[in-house]
Amino acid sequence: MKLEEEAKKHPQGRAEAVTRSALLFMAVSGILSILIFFAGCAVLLGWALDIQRLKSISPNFVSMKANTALCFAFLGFSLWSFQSKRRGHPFFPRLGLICSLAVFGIGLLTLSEYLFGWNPGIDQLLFKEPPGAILTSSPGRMAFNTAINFTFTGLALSLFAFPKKGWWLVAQSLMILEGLLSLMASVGYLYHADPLILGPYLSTAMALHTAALFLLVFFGTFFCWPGRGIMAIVSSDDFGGKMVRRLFPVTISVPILLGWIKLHSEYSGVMPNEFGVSFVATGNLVITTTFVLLLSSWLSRTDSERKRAETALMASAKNWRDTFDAMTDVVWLLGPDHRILQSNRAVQSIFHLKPQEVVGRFCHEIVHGMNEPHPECPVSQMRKSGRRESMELFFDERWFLVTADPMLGPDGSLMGIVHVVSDITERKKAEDALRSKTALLEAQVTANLDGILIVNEKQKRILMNHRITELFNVPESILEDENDAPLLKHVVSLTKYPERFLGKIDYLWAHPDEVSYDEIEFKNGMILERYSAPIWGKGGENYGRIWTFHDVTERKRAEEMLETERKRMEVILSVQNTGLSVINPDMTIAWVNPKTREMFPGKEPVGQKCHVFYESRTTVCDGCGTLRTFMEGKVCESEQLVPATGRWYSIVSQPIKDTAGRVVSVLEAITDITERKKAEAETLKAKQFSESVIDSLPGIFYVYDDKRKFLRINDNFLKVSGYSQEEVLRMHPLDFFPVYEKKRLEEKIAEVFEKGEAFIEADFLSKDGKKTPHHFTGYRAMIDNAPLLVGVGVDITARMKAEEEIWKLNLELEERVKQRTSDLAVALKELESFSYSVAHDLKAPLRAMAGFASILFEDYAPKLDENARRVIGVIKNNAKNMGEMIDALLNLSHVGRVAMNCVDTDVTKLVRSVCHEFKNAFFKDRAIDLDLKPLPSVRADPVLLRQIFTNLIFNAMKFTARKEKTVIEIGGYDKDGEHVYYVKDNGVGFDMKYKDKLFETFQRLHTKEKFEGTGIGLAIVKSAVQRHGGRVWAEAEAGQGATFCFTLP
Amino acid sequence: MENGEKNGKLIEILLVEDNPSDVELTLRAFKKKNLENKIHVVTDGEQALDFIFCRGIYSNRSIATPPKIVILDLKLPMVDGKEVLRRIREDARTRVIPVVILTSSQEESDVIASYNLGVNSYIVKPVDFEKFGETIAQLSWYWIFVNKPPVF
Repeated sequence: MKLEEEAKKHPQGRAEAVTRSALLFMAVSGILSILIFFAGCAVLLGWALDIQRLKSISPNFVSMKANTALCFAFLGFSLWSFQSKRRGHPFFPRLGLICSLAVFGIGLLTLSEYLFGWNPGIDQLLFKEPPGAILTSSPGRMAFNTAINFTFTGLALSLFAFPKKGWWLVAQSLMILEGLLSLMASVGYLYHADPLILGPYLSTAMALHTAALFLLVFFGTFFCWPGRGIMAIVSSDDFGGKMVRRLFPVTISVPILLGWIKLHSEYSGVMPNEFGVSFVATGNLVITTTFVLLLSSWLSRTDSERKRAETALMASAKNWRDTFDAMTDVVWLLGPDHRILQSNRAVQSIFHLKPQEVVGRFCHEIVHGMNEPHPECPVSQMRKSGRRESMELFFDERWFLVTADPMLGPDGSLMGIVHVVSDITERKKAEDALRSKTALLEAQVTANLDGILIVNEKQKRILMNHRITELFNVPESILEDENDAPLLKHVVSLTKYPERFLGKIDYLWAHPDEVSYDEIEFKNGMILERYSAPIWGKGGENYGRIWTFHDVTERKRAEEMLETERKRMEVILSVQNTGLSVINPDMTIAWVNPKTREMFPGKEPVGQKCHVFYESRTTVCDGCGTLRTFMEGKVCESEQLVPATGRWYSIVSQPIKDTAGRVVSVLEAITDITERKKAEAETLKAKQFSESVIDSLPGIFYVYDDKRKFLRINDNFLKVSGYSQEEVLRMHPLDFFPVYEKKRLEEKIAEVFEKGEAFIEADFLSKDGKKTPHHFTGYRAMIDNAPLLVGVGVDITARMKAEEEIWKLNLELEERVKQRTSDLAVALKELESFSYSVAHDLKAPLRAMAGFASILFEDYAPKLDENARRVIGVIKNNAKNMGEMIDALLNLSHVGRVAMNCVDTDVTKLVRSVCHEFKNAFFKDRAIDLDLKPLPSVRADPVLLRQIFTNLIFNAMKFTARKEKTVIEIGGYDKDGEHVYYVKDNGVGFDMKYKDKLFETFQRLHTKEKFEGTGIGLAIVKSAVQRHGGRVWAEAEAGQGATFCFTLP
Repeated sequence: MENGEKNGKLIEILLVEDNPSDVELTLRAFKKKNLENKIHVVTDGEQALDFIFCRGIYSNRSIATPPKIVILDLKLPMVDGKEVLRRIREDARTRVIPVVILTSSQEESDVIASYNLGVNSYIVKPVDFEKFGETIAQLSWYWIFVNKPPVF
């Protein structure tokens, strides 16, 4: 590759082969030219400043004259300007030509000076040389040989500039002469020979540095055109060149060296002259022969190699021949006249002719079926352009590409034409497909909002869309320019950081496989996103690279603003007292505020997944509010228990949306709600408790507001009413009652809201029409300043039934009571009639007994004796007794039977009247000391009470009759809620052991002789007292008196 | 004494008593007071009413000559004493006839009922006969001689 590149740099013309040696020679030539130029200038400088060293090296040597130096300078410049790389240059070669001609002119003039003896004065034109300079015939005049050399060189160089073959030979011949002259002079200096002086003319001798420079000129000139003339061989790659390059240095240097050795040894006496000569000859012989032998062996080796190569070449040629024949494309070798010289076998398949048949015919005959070359025949075109030409051809339903390549001879003439016909149908199809694809691509690219630039694998742009022009304001001139450099430069000039821009390009050039993404900032504030990716073919070959430029300025601005906002938010959020954290869509924590860190000390939250960090779970938490927010875009709340801290947190997840409304992240506000949760749990417990209480209520529970809208009912309500929850909540309380209850209920409900509470018993109407009696309570409760009616309804069916039962029972009972009462009444009546009978009927016979006994006594008194009278008396007595007993019994039963009529009685007054009665009636003769104390009044039957006191006082009076002074004390007091009355006498008393017998019927503790009485008085007292519900007892001491007490409630 | 006259004299006392012993005792008492002539005894309520209203066997009596006093026992066969009393008091012709109830019953209810019916006096028969005799005599003396009867 390098060779070709270099060859390109040195357009030699077609006939010149460019070898490595040639390149080397040319390089050297270039260096030499510069050297010569500067040397010349240096000497001129020496002349100007009069520096002896520069002028003549050593004081004994002749100086280089000014003209010489000038000529060298010209030569140097001229040679430099003829360097192959400058040959295309419009300016330099012409200038070089002028210089070389100038040199030729100067040399010629000087020569003419020598030959014709005239002095135009050019020698001293530049600088003056003092007369008498060493070896100088005329001051300032250059040596004769120098002049000759300059003439030759100047002419030669001028001739070299023209690429005509004949002139080259002339130029080279001249140069050889020049070389000889300069060599001789140089060797002379080397051998310390006297300088060559020609003829009678005292010419100047050639200076040492002049000779050296001339040698350099010689080499420089020859090396400048390595492909011309002799140099062609020298610089060629073949054996000749190789040999020459190896031999020449030897054959040139060895003799000179030997000569020098000889001279030196001669001078120093080591070697005598003759020996010296033979030495030189022998030495030459030996060295040269040795070298030739070496070279020959190398040559033969190379030759055998070459032979091998040739054989191989033959083989490969045969291979190639076979390939040639096997090729599917038709390959012909044409002569310059379009005749087919050679053909491969493919002609059979494409043109259906044998190779032998086509040889000798015209190509256009076969291909186009024409006698004349096709107007677009690539062969003709190739002949004109000198390059490969081709055309496309359609026949036989297929597409063919006809290509013509020139085959040039070594002289660059056209030797033959390689004519190829290849079937490109597939390619055409592919091309068409590609074209359409490309068109599509181009359309896409053109229409794309991004700037698209496609470069091939050599970084040359293939495609660029309009957007690029827009983006970079590319001017027309640059667009039209095929070169990429101006475009690149233009774009780079717009960027803020060109190094970065270019650096990427260079990097990707070095790494063709890589995809890159970066952002470019421009001076005008635009920011582009630059994307670059290689374009791969199907087989993995790299077709180039695509660059896209996407305007993200707006986006960047937005991003910047977002960033600023975000930073601002961070600051704001950092000072919050609530724990905040931002969660990414993949549930990782993007950010937390300091409060969150405080709440969850320990690990670093950012980067971890939300549920991993907070909940130590591997999967998302159940009911995750953040997840719901991501999916629904709404604010969601959730509560979670964090095992690590053991506390409850409320998490409010808020969506953070972009302008399109998509949720890009979620902000979680985390609040510690453990206390609240505890309270809630308590409340829940209480609520559950109250709920269970409500549910456990045996009756129906209801709560409704003053608009009669139900707020709460228990399950029983639904069960009993038969309605569903939804139905009830839509109903009015009165809907649950039959028509006849509604008015009453409405009044009651109003009463509850007015007065605070009420209750009512009413029939509850269930959905199926059943009416159940209930007892309803209503209580007005103020909840949130709104009055509500809270109440319970209890099914009173059972109670009512019971009540009915009771009522029925009561009725029955009453009936029975009535019955009993009537029975009793009847019994009583019967008893009354019995008593009545007893009273009436029993007494009658008694009366008769007693009466007739009296009659007997009266009527027959004179006839009766004592005893008879006594007997009659006994009869009468007994009858009388019986009468009394009957009376007493009647009395007793009367007391027990008679209806009590209790009224408030003034007991004192009653007793007083009894006593009064007694006194007047029975005991008026006696001295009775009656101590009547005040007696408490009582509610009692006055008749019975009178009877009681009568009997007691009568007894008191009776049993004190024997005493001289009767003291009777009657009193009463209240004790233990009872009224206690007593009658105390100082009578005969009784023995306490008989105290119970006192009150029995007909029981007497004294005989009738001692005291009168039936013994029924106290029984009557007891009965009467007991009828009042009281008690009666007595205390006494025999002989001292007795106290009879009774209580009345 | 079928025609309401006794020995040519008017009956002035009607005794309504069923117990013969009591009748005897009562007559004995009246006898002591020399009133035996003026007394007529019937032994049941029906007879009493017949006598007073001059019907039945007493239909030849004249209602214009009622007894001056009726001594009525309560416990009588046929028509009860209270009923007799009531009948007497019902009829305008006999309403003013003084009636004295002489009974062994001390029952308050008897007493009150009798007085409500318009009895003039209520006497309880004592067991002691002497006493009884006295009582009767006094009673009779009063009603016949002391008290001024209504004149029809």
